[in-house]
Amino acid sequence: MSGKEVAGAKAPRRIALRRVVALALVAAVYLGAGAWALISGKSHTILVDNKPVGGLEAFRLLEVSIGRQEPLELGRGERDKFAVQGQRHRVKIDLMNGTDPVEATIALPYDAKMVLLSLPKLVAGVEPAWEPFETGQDAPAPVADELPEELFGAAIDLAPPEAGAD
Amino acid sequence: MKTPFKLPSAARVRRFAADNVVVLIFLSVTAIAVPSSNLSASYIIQDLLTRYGRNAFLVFSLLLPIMAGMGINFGMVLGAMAGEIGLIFAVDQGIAGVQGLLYAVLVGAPIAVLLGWIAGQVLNRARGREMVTGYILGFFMDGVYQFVVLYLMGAIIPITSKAITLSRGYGIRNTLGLDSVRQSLDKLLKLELGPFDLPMATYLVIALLALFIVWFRRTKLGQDMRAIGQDQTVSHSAGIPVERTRILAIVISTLLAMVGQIIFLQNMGNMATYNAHRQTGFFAAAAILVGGASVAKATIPNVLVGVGLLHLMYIVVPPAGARLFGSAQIGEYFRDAMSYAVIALALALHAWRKRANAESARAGLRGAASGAVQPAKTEGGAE
Repeated sequence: MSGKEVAGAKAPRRIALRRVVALALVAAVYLGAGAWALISGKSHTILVDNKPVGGLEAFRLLEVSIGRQEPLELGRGERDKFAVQGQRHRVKIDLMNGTDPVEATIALPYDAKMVLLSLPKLVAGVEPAWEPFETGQDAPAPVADELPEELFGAAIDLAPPEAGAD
Repeated sequence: MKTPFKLPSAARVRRFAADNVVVLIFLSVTAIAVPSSNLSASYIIQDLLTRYGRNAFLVFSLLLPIMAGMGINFGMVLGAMAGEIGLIFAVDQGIAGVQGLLYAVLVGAPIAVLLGWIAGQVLNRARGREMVTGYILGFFMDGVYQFVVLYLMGAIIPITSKAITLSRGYGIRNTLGLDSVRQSLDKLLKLELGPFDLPMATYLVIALLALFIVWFRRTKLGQDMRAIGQDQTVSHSAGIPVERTRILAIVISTLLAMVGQIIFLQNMGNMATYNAHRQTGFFAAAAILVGGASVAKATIPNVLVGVGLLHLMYIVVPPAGARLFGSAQIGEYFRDAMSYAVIALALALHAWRKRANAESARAGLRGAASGAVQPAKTEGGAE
């Protein structure tokens, strides 16, 4: 068998290999992009809370910011919220009394939709300074336009059939 | 030296008017409506800039099937449905921002490819009737979509968020708030230019798509599509896999429509779960036809001109209607009627040109009208 024939026989194998590598690359990019979107895009709500807790006093007035978001001003006993994406966040608290701002990093679990971050705990270095926050509210009550008005061109009647009808 | 044949000027004007009748009618209507609308120039320009970002990607998705000789892909609503399913999952999972859009694209992509492949298979069996088949296919898949979203989501397909589920426990609500991804692409790279806000990231995505289409036309696959658009029999004889190439054109178009619908909805900020996709094909088709494209030939400038002209009319006609007739509703009806008329006119013109070309070819064969018969403008998606 000549060298040329051997090279010719190898060509389809090389093309198949190249195709497999290309497909593997596409799959890796697809999965990588999906993982990045899932992890870094996951949204959480952080309630920042300036209330006395566990023997720790609330602060008279402070300014708190998370990440690059605009700072919020909180008086004693006040609470506000930040909508954030991702699980690790840098929290900066300025007690507005001439001292250096306190900075801390918090890590939230992936499935925590809403957490309550106690600022007195965070400043005092109590770990963890946050706890999951459940609103206890169900989905809003159904409204008139909740369902499509028609389906396949016909009006929908979702009411149960009348009992006792023959 | 032989001088090239030139039409007399009156004939040239007539030919130009016949070739651009859709654009000219649209320009005339809009030119009348602009002063009557009493809207300021800055308002109109800002609205137009926003609408370019919102709609251009969807209209671009029509280019490849036209290039492959399949006409306007009314089946692009299948891609729009895939995009909506992606967004439902992004909202349900609480994925926000640009990542939420990327997640929606990643979820929607395999669905769009599958639906595009099905559509391509169907359209290959309905050769010559692709547009009407695609239109009806869209209605059929709308039923399937409603079944999946209204009955399977939350029952069989896991949906965790109670906020988007119907109170009965399964099915998605009629209106889905997209607060978590609202204008996240538009705001990613915002440029303030005087009184105007320019969503540069959205424009960048559209520009990348335009570059992709320019590049794609020069590839082997792109050349094959153009050849098929010219003549399927000759392409088949030349060894081009006609059916496979046509399916690929529809798959890519459906995929692009999926991304386009996500870009459209992130700009709107909410989604009519069961209706949002229904008019997608119609608006995109009207836009590309208004831009001077035909069902057999479309270019990137057609898309850009068409989106501008159609949406200029959409902006100015309702207030013009309100001022002239005392009711904005008349303007709304009028602009819808105009859009449908444009599609009908373009289809009629295409049929007329085809017949005129066939007649002229026959006359040429008979030798009866040598030099006397001017063929109507030949259409071909290869430009």
